[in-house]
Formats: sequence, C-alpha cells, structure tokens
Amino acid sequence: MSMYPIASALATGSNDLAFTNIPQNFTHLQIRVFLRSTNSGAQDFNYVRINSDFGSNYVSHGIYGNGSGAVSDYYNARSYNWLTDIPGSSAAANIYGVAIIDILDYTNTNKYKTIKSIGGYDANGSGTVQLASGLWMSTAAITSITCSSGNNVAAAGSTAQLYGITTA
Amino acid sequence: MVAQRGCDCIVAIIPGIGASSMHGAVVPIAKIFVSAGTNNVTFSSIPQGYQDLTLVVSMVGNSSYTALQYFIQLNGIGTGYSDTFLYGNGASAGSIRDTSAGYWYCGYFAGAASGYPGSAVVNILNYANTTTYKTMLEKWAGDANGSGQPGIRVGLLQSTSAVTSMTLYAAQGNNLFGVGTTFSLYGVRTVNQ
Repeated sequence: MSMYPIASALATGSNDLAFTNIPQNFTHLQIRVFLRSTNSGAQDFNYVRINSDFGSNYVSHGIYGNGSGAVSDYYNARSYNWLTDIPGSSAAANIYGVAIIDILDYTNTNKYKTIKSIGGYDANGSGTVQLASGLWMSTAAITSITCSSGNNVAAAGSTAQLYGITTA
Repeated sequence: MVAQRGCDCIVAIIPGIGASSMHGAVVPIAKIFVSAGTNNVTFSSIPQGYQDLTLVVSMVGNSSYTALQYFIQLNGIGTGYSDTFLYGNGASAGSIRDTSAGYWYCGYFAGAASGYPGSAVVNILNYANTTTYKTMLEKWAGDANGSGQPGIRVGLLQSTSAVTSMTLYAAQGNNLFGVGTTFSLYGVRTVNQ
C-alpha cells in the first residue's frame, strides 16, 4: 500500500477547501486537514460534502473527549458529514484544528461510502479530540469533495491535502 | 543527518532520504534504534520540504512500571504545550487535558516495562509553517494481556516557529527507552514537494 499526493487546497479567508476531478485510479483517499473557521464563536466544525450532494444523505457518529469526559453523539439526515471540532473566529489567534480523514473504496459503485476521521483542536484549556464515522448514502463514485468549516469559509492559512492510496 | 544521540545512547542511525516520487507521499527521514536504555533521543535538522511530519513509536521499557509514557518537545521549547486526549481502558472511556505544560504528554503504554511494546503514531501537520501554532494528532495503543489502553490525543504548541528538531523523553526517566525501542520519522509530502 502506497500513498500519493493528488492535490492541495489553500484557504484565503474567503473560500472553502474543495477538490474536483478526483482521479479514479486509486483504491482509497486520505485528506489531511489543517483548519480554522471564520464563523463566530470559539468553536466550529469540520465537515465533508461529496459530489456536491446537498441532499439529506449523510449520517455521522462520533466519540469525543473534551478534557473532562468521553461523549458520543450522532447527526442524522444532514447535507454533510460532520467530522470534528475546529477553532472558530473568536478562538485564540494562530490555533488551527487538524483532521486525518480516510475514505475507503471511493470509486466503488456498488455500495455506500464510509468515512473515518480522527481530529480535533486544543486551545490550552479548551478543545476536543474526536474519532468520527461518516456515511454517505450514495453508490456513486466520488469525484469531488468539499472539506471546510460550518460556515463554508475557512480562515486564511487553512489547508487540505488530498492523497490517493493504492493497493496491490 | 537528522537523528542524533540523546543524553545517553543510541546505536543505529539511518540517514535521511530525500523526497522522491519513488517513495510516494510518505518519505522516511530517519530512524532511531535504542540498543541501551536511555532517557531521551532527538531528531535534529529536520528537513523543511514536506507538508506534515509523522512519527512512529514502538516503545519498550526496562524496568517495572505499570505503564510508561513519553514526552515530546519541539525545537527545545520548554513552555506552551497543551493537549486533550480520549482513552479507553477496558472498563470505561475518559478524557483528560493538560494545560500550560513543558511537553506534550504522550502515550500510555500498559506493560511496556514488562515486554509488551507500546505503539503510537504522531502527526504534526503544517510543521514548517511560520504563521500558525503547531497542532499534533496522536494515536496510541498499549496492551498487556489484562490491562491496556488505546487513545487519541490532540496537542497544541503555542509557537509559530517551524519545527526543526524533536526530542522524545522517557516520562518516567530511569532510562526507560529500553532496548528495542524505535522511533521512525517520516515526511508527508504534498503536490510539488
């Protein structure tokens, strides 16, 4: 199994992070996210939307730690896969959240797609760390991915790197 | 050269390998083998040409402790670390955070002092960036056949400096990076790197 870089997305403070025309010749995808939101508040979230599907076709489950306990929650019938918490615009400056997102068998057209994410952020006294699953209820091959903050505007300096993973 | 002796002993060093398409996205930078117990090891002169760093830890101890941990310190900076982690110990799940610390507290390896290796993978994203603080993600696991703990951790270092060196400390001292412990450092390149 080898991993190869496909594309890099960089936020300027007025855009989200998106990948289009994803090549179909890998077995799995990985996205490595370094992200802060421009949304108000100290905390926002990182989501993934696939193939520009805005339907209620996404479900997420997660377990997270907030420094005082472990909590599990879920989000049904969303128009995106909620994956991890990230800092919002009122969080202390220079703090970014991170996530490593794996999407297996992304070209397979016989089954729904499942996402696994590990991510979070720490702000020296606040923040969370999460393990999340996401289901996209579509059998379509994945050709584009939007990966951004809840308000669709990633803070300047945010980046996402897309990788393809091969198998034998 | 990117690996060097800690204050005690490190025996084998594999020179860094330059980024090349033949390695795909994950490029080995250096590996440290521990052949005699030591308290710390350092990766220095870390190349700046990658997007992320990945550290792979396989830790065994050499004394009798219930569980072992290791610390990470970047660039010799001794302040400004914090972290939040989530763990399960076979009976319950919990979360704890550390604030205003001198290191990232990492791992929790049950039985690592008794021959059960603990393993961890640490990712430091955007490590060469000089405008943002540094954030890391750690996954760790230790199992000692009746006790053990996997966990995930996110850590913050309040420094905008590019990461050029990384020192790993045996948290319990006593030369508890035991024989057979390995630390492998990789660069994760993105397009045009």
